Amino acid sequence: MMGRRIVIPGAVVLLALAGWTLGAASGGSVDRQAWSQSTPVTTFTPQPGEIYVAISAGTEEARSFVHADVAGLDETTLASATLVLHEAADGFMPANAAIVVCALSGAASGDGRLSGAPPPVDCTSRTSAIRDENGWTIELRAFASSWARGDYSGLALFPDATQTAATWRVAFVTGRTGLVVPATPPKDEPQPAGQNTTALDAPAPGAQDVGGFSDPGTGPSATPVEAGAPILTTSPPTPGRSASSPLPKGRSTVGSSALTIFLVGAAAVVVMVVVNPLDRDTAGATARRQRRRRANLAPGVAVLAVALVPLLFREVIVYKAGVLLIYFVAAIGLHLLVNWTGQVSLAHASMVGLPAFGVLALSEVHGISPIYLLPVAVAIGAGVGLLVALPTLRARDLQVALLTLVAGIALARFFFTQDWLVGPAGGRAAAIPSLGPLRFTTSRSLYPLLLVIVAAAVVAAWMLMHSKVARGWYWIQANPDAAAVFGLPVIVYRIGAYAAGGAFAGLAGGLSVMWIQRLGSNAFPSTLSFTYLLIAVLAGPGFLGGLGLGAFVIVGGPLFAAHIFGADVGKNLETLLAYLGPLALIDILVRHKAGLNGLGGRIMRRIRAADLTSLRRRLSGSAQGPPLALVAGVAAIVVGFAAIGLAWRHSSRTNQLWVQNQEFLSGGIGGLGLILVGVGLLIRDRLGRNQVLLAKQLAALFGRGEASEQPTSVVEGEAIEPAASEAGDDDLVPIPPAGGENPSVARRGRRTKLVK
Amino acid sequence: MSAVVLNGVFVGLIYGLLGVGLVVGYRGSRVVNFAYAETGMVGAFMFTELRFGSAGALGRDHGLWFALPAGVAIAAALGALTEVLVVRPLRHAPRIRALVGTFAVGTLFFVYAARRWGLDPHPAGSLMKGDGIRVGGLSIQPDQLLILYVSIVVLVGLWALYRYTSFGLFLRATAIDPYAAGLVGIDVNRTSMATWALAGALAGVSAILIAPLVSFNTAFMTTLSIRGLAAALVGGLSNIGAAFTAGILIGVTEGVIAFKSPVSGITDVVVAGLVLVLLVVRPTGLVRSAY
Repeated sequence: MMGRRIVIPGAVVLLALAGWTLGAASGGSVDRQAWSQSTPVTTFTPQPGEIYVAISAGTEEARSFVHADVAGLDETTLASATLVLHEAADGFMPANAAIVVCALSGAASGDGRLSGAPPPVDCTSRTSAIRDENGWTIELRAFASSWARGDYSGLALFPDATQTAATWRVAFVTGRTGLVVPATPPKDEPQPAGQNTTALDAPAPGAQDVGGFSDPGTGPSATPVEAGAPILTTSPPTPGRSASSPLPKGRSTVGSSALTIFLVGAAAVVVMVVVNPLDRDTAGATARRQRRRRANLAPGVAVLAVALVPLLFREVIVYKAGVLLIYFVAAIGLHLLVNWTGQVSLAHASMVGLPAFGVLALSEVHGISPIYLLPVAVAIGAGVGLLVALPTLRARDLQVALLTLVAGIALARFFFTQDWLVGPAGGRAAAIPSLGPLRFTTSRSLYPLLLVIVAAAVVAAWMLMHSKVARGWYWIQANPDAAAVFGLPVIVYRIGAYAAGGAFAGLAGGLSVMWIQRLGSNAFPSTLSFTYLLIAVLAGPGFLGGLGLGAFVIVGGPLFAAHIFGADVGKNLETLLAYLGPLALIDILVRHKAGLNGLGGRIMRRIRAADLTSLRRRLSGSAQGPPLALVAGVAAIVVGFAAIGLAWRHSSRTNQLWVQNQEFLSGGIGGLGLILVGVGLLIRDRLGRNQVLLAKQLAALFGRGEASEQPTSVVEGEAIEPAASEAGDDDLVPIPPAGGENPSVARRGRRTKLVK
Repeated sequence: MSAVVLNGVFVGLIYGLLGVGLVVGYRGSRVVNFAYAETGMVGAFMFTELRFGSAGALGRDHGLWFALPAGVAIAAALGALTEVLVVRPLRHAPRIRALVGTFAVGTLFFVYAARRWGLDPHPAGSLMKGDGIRVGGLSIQPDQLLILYVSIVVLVGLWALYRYTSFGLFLRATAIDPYAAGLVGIDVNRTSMATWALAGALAGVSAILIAPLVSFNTAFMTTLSIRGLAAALVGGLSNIGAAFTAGILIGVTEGVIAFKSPVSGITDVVVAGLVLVLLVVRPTGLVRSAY
């Protein structure tokens, strides 16, 4: 029974997930091909006192430019300024976001023309763009002093090839008031009727619109910087993208929201079914085991549902959620070492970075999808783990930590500076992630796949934790001498722990390539090892719940603060978190030795021990509460209709076939499936009620004692029997007397218990 | 080649000096101070701010003889704070927890410094004027000579402190067995805090001396302290003289490898490889622990 309860909704969820991925990915493929068809090359003449941003594709020629007049701005103003870029027309955010910003040297613009992206040697100052809700934000502080000296005049961006044909919206933001180009498309490119706009089109919170794009082809604007003046211009339009172009305008957020509502709803139904309190009224060892399994499963399903929530939001949120998940996978490796085995590694950044760069190089050189290279990444990671494990052959305790630190830094300094591995200054770009005929060009389309891989990693960790190997690790952690005396090969187990940790780290490296798709040599600094260590120590001994929470606090806090609390509050909160993070870590180290896992365990124990009878009684008037199958069924039907409605609405607002297909697959079929599941639950509830009624009548007819001696098969194998001695009073269900037809029943009491 | 070796010696002096500070802290509590670099960095920035009035908001030049003790005292106070915040409460916990704790303290210092002074390089004026001297074709800057002089003074001073003073005796007793030291009446907490304050002061002195020779930003000590840590490891983590010598050896080895090999990044690999091999063969370091 239990199996059916989970399998049916679970299958619906998986089918919908697969269907949506199919729809999203195939749509992305069309999209990608369309963008690739227009690749104009543009040149321009730099003017003094202007910021030039060249949008280029790696080492290929610069293809479009934007520039801002910054004459009159001093170094201080420039230092506090940021440059914000995102695509103009439709809020399309490609999956890769690791843009390297490279200041052009004087030599590059010395001839007055910039006909191509500068070679790496001309990069006098570099920084990386940060992706946020506005697109890519580039802090100009790193360039300010050189700019003020007039050493160079521009920035060159090296985004992925998928972005080159895009028209960019650029905002030059000074201070907190900001100067932002409004969210209007270029004049030659009106928005097609029916096209959805996304929240990405909104200007930054608190920012002030001061101008728009100039007419294409008019060259640099000489307008001084002042409120209300257009300060940015775009390059001449790309010939391949005109107003009459039938090409899709990039990906939209439609469809995903319907799907997400569907998936979250389905997950909620699964949770409600598997934690059905009716089942608490069952007794016996088998029933208890099943309850435990369900209790373990329910949080997993709930976490999965929460992990799907980012799909409700913009592309940038999905991107950041993916980054967070990758941090989590990487931290699993160190968690296994630190909290399960009692070992430590401060070379974890290298364990993640080396596989990442290996996969990246293979993907770029041979054009192989990084998804196919994930096993290679795992293998490389395990190999690096073995290498890092060498010091544990002799050294112990603190020395191991220090030696792994030295080894990690050496690995990073050597390998992460080799051009044959990390590529040129702009970094390497992986091939577009694809899986068979499916191509994933956006974070949103890739996210479900990432979730599946992360879930697989969690399952692998769970299986490992319950294996003989992990028991050996625990033993070694508790007392290595005792473990050795009992014949455990301590060295082999220790090295195995490093290899396993390296494998998880390698998976994280491979996922980084799959997710970010362009990595520079500084993508995995040695200090990253400490971040992973912080997460692992914060988590404490136990499974991955504390680890996930630790990753969310340490990595997700700064990532999402601005989104959750707004730009201004978020920035202050980020500063606060920067101070509170280390202080919280010290507090946990000193006072809460079990870490977040221990804290979570205590909370869960309290919740499980809580008596919810009074709550149920208040809500429903009875101690048992409303039948969960009924509630779940109604919820499933409502969510199913909502998903179909949303899909219908979105489909009617677009003329793009691939979007409609996606909506059909996600909202349509998924919603229909959910309705069917809901109806099934209602039928099941009705049948169950009838059978319970029948059981009551039988009990009244034959008397309690006889009923207990001859258990009657009732609701799908459930029977009525006298209360089990181990069951508490709250678990007992009173059965009313049978109208005096059998006085002995009334005399002996009415308390019985439903069991399977 | 002699110029390369000589240059390596002066680079090694920096590593050695940093290694000595780490060893002093470790001897007091058996905890490696991962906040060492940040402690020294904050001291150096405070010194620069007081001395030149340029890095922050403390205004005018307060003069060398005010700025130097102030910078060193601030670093010493931060060292003592680290002991109180992390080392003392975690004295009986696994040492890896205390190590992570010191890292957290270091992060705290770094966050403060990054917000106060930013991440960009700052000008750090030279502590000594002059043209320096030329030895074996190598021009030695006055600041490098100052490091040499201060290193000698520090080594001799520490040796005298540990050897001839009652406070040094307390430090040694606490380092060998804190429990027994407590039984004979030594205030272990106070001694431990004094040790960490001493280590902090050494971090401050080192950072102030090194600042004019490197790109002076809030991360300038981090990389160097890793080399200092390698020196301390090779020296067995508890022998001050051995750590200093190991620092010089690492500096010379680096210089020679960089001179001989055209492969970028190979220096770090070879040095790390040597350290790893040495410690696999002799886990206690080149020299046995000495108190």
